[in-house]
Amino acid sequence: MVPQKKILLVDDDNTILQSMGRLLTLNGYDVVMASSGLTALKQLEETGYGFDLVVTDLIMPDVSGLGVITLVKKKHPHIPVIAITGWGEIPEQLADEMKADVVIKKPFELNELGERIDDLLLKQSAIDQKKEP
Amino acid sequence: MMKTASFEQFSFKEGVEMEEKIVGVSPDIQHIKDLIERVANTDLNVIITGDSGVGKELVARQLYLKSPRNGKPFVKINCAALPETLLESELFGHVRGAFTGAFQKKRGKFEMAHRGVLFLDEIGDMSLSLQSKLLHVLQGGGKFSPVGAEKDVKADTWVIAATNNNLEQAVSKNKFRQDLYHRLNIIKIFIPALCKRPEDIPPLVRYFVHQYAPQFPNNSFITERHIQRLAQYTWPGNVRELQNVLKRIMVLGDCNQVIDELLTSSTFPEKTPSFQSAAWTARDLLQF
Repeated sequence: MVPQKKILLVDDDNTILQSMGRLLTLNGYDVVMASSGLTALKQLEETGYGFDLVVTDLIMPDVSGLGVITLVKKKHPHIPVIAITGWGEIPEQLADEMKADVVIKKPFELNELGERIDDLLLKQSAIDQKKEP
Repeated sequence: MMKTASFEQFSFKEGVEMEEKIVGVSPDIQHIKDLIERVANTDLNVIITGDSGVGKELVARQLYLKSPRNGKPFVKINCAALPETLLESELFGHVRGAFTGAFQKKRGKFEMAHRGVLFLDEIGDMSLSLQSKLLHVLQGGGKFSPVGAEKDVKADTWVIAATNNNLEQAVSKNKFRQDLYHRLNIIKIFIPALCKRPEDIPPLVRYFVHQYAPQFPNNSFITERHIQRLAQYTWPGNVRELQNVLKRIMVLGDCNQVIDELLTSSTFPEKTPSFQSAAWTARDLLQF
């Protein structure tokens, strides 16, 4: 049996967080939700960064999504990261600079998010398979 | 030499360092402690916000102490204290002859904080021109040019900034650069005013009395009733004001008089020293 891909969702807007969580669970993913950047950091550390993909809102209190992206890419650069922003050009530029794989602007269709996730995970699987002896 | 009193470093005796500790039982303080533990080893840019006297520098020091940079320099610069031209030279250094009066080369605080922490206090007061230069350094991974220099210098410096200004408002009024704001605001630690977390007042009082008690063994008689009365005051000067009042109590040895004055007057009498002021010596207090 193929293990489920594990996704970390980070957003301080509970409505968006729950909606994304429901969609991705229905799509067959193992979803962990974090309602703040700080909770996301805890999840990342406690699981040893054991996620296949991270989706994070950019602007959040305490620990911003930019912080989450920076840490994920610093410690495990192979984990794809999707950044979600409603705040205009600058956070988007910073997300690019911090090597977010995809930046999605709000408002967005949940299906679009689902498709981007599928694409990124497929690409990462292909890369992982090439690396196998 | 009397140190400039900041919340955590005041001492009546020369050379005595008080233990630095974040004290409080409120959910806000617990959250701040949690945040510090989680981000201290990340090197992510931090902005600490809150009213004057809440303890922004203490939080910066705690971040430093709990980070792998502990033991390396902790360099502080107050961005409101110097005119722009001097601040640029303080931050980035200068070469000999860079301007009138630059008789020798000087290392800036960025360079002095290499492998350590640079604490930029009152960053909301930095000029737009210097903000651009700071942004350039942060974008360039720590590369900067001393004033008058032809070559860049590079420093591995963790930047922690603090302000009691509302930076979002400053950005909307074009007084603070939005790009710099977002780049600094990776981690934001907000410290609420003491009046918003009155449950922290009793443990703070006990903590400071315990700290000062060795110097005033006969005056360490603050009772629970005194603590309850102190907790009724709004502390507009926050923890710094609380510290100064406790020092006054312990020097004068009269809790009731000091607390009565505090609770009955909204402004202090002319001859009473300002509880907001920075440096106090025992001699200053005994003049009243």
